[in-house]
Amino acid sequence: MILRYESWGAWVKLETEAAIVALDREGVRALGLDGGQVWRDARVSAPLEVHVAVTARCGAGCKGCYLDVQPDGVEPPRETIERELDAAAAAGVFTVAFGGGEPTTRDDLDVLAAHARARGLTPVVTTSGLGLSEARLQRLRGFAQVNVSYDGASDTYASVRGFDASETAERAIERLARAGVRVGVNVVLTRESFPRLRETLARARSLGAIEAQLLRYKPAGRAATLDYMAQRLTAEQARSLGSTLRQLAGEMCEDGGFHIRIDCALVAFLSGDGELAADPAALSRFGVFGCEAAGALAAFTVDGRVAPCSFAAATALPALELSAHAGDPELTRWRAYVADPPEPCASCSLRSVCKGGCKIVAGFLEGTHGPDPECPRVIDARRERAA
Amino acid sequence: MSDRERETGELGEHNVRAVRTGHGANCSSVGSVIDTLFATAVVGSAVFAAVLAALKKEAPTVVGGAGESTTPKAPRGDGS
Repeated sequence: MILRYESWGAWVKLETEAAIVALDREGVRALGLDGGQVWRDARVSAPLEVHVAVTARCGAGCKGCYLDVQPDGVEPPRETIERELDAAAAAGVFTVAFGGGEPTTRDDLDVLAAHARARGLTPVVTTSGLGLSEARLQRLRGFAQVNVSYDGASDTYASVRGFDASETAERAIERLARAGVRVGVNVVLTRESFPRLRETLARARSLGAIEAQLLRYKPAGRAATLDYMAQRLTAEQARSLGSTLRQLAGEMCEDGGFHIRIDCALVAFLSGDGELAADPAALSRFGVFGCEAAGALAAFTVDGRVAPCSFAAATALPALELSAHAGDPELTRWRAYVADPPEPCASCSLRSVCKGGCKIVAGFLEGTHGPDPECPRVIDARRERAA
Repeated sequence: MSDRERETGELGEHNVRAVRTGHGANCSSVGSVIDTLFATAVVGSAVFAAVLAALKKEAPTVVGGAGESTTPKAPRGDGS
């Protein structure tokens, strides 16, 4: 196991189970360890997970690409990425998620994965599945998990991406699974894809996916246009997320062969579910993360700087200096907001988990680093105030 | 959690603040497994039991800044 001390105990990444565990101080002592100085200082935690843009090259041309990447985008040299991975490992990061850009366009992707593993990092990667030649597939074997972007069959896929490559994505899922690669799918939730979620997950599972990660559509990159308003979930869909998940989990996950994940930005929508909102301890106990930008999460941009998350603007902090994250003023500003949010977040039962919802959405819709305007609780609070 | 674990300082479920299962592999936002929240108590307990068993079995490597004890003792949570 790999263990990193925190003020409250330690985060532990297990090797024989795909899990990370937050242990309290007594638990750490039971392992024969002591946090020493870390337990005496009020130290800012380093990220647990870093999203590394290994290329800005991608020919897919998805209409909502959050990074607005291009077919001729820049691609940092291998040595640069390796030094960034070294910096992440030195800071105590557990997981590096390769993205971009289409990571499989790199001929050295397997080398980068091996470099990460040699430093104790768990490498994972996201791909569109487009252009997944046999050689490219083989380069993915070193990753702990590969997620294929798959928003649904035919029209559903096209409604999210602007073109229909669903069959290509499906073949990629199937081939990866058959090759023994642990494969999941990323499903972007829009008002078009949400009603078909059940069939999308069932299809992914039948192709060999072991997991689906549901992603909130975010107004960044090419999606930061007025079209966002037509693509995003309706308020009713957002409010129904908790009950939808409950139903899907009951139908698809009870045998343990398939799991559903939600992304950090979707956690705010759980405030629309009375049962979940009443039991934030359960969400904490199962390690649900809301907005962890500048907290448990950081991103390395393709030009080698640290960003609070993949959707946020880069800070001035070089990726190679990730260990100095605690002193960066912009990352500090993001953390300070989470520590002391305004109402209605301040009094929300889910505050400690949700951490104020998606700041990217708030910034796009309202120009502020404030409460998530699509959160059901925020909507209700504003409606009450206006009444 | 058993009383014996608390009394003897053995590693137990009461020491686990949170468990994040799975690797996740999304490169744009951090994900969390949600279906375990809706599962039966038996399934939830099994997750914690598996994690505890691994914690008691695996040797630790400290990263991101060492604490005071730089030569960790062997795990003693299994009582053996």
